[in-house]
Amino acid sequence: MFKIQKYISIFKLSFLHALKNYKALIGLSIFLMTCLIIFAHLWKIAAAKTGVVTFNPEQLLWYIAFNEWVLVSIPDTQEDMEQDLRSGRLAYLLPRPISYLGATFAEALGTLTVNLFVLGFVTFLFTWWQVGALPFHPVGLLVTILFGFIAGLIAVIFQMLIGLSAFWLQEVSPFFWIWEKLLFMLGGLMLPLTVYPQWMQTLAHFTPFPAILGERSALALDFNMDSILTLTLSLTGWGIFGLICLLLVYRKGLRILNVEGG
Amino acid sequence: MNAAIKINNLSKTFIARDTFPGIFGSIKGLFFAKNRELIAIKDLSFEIAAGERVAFIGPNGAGKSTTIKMLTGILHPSSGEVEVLGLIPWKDRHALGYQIGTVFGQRTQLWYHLPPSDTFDLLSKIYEIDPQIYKDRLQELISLFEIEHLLYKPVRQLSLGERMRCEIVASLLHKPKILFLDEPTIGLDINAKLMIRGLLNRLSKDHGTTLFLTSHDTADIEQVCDRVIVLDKGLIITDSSLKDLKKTYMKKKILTLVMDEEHLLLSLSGIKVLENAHHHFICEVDISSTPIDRVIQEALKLTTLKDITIEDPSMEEVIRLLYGTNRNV
Repeated sequence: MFKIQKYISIFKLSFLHALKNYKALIGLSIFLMTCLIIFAHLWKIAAAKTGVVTFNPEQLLWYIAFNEWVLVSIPDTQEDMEQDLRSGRLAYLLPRPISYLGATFAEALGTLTVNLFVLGFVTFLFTWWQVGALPFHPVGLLVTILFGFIAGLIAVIFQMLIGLSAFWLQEVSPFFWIWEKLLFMLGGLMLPLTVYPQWMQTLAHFTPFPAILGERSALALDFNMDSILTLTLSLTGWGIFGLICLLLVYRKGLRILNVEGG
Repeated sequence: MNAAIKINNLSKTFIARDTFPGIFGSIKGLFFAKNRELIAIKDLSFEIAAGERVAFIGPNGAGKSTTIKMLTGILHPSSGEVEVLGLIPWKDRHALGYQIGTVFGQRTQLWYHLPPSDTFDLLSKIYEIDPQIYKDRLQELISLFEIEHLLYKPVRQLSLGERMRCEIVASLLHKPKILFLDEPTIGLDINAKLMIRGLLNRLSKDHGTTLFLTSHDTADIEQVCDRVIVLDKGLIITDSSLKDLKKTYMKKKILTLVMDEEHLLLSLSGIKVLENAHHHFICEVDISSTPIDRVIQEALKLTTLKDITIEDPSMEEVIRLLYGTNRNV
């Protein structure tokens, strides 16, 4: 049996597990819709009055919806990893003939896929109902959705990297808090990056955040080949960088590991 | 001896960070906390033969779980040598994974919202078990552990005892040569405990599986194991068969006499009266100074006996004595 089949089996089971956990999906959908309602009302007023955004209010709401869709869909893998360590579950997982990192990634991917599908439908229908217009190129929408999956995957890689910090610190929430706030700000969660001061735009482009959120969402509204190419390169580069960091940190972490309990 | 586990001068040291109490203490601790070496295991050496059933016991913080984690390759030792089935656990963790099983009480490997059958299927893929062999093996374990009715029930709906049976099945699917059990009966009711112990005995008898068990429940040790290694503060304080351990530490017996008289006026050196009323005389006899038959003979001089019962002190008492002896050293 090819070893990759082990990870595919974990992915399939995680997919099934996330589907059966329908209460969590309902909770996420309600949270997502609440965020969209708040932002819709906020931006209908603010964008119209200030005129700082190049998008019109309808486009801006879709931009935020595409951002929120991916953001809310990303599973809290870093917390699961912290729990694996704190609860001692790692003692079950590590001796198995499978990579802990690979298994965690496959599991996160299963949950991410279900979340992206279910919340994708919720986001699309709810935003369409709120905005009443579809101001984007259909191909741009498809590319944004495809890149949404890749962006979610890259966010999982970086959140796993945060999860590994538990091997040293037992606690991942401070790092995750910083990551999340940077993602909101430099990813352009609520405002396109173009309205930021130049120095912040430059700074943002040295991070993976715009590719995960803002630039990807803007693609549907401002569809062009240059942006697709830039985004493809950016996502690939950050994905490879994240994976390398993950492997190096994991190798180092295993040596100092102290599983709780005993 | 065909050794399943060989440990030679194994030591494990952790670095603990001492901090200060309170809010200001926490802030101070950020700058002035001191690192302290904490010895979890010190120069541990022993061998376990294939098929042996060993209880690895000790008070909290003795280093039991740390040792299990080193034996399963989760932790790297600070020094010393370990061989499990001829492999070095932390170097050959994945290769060893095919040959060992682990059961950690109150920690789960089953997927919470899915039935156990889904986890079993996944594990068969992870351990690369041939589908036909897996089918036969699962059937065998289902009948042994009586879990047919639990197979398709979501794990969240199982009782702790039912879940533990499924956890053990999950750990046995790949037919491990060694099963490491860390508090496998913790939190279970008495029936579930009895069932798990019986199953472990059958497993060892029928398949020759080596059992390495840690537990604070002395009944687990008494009913499952035939050898006991006692650890305290990272050092082995006793390593002997259960029989020898009892012989060494059970110098006292509990004697119960049922007689015609309401109570018995018996006074002898080496006996401690525990109860003397309602036609029952119960005493603890120190057999190193006073033989049991002498106590019975003296009682017969005073009354007619209807019944006699001689009991060993509980395993719990032996363990208490062991820990106590070591602490007094």
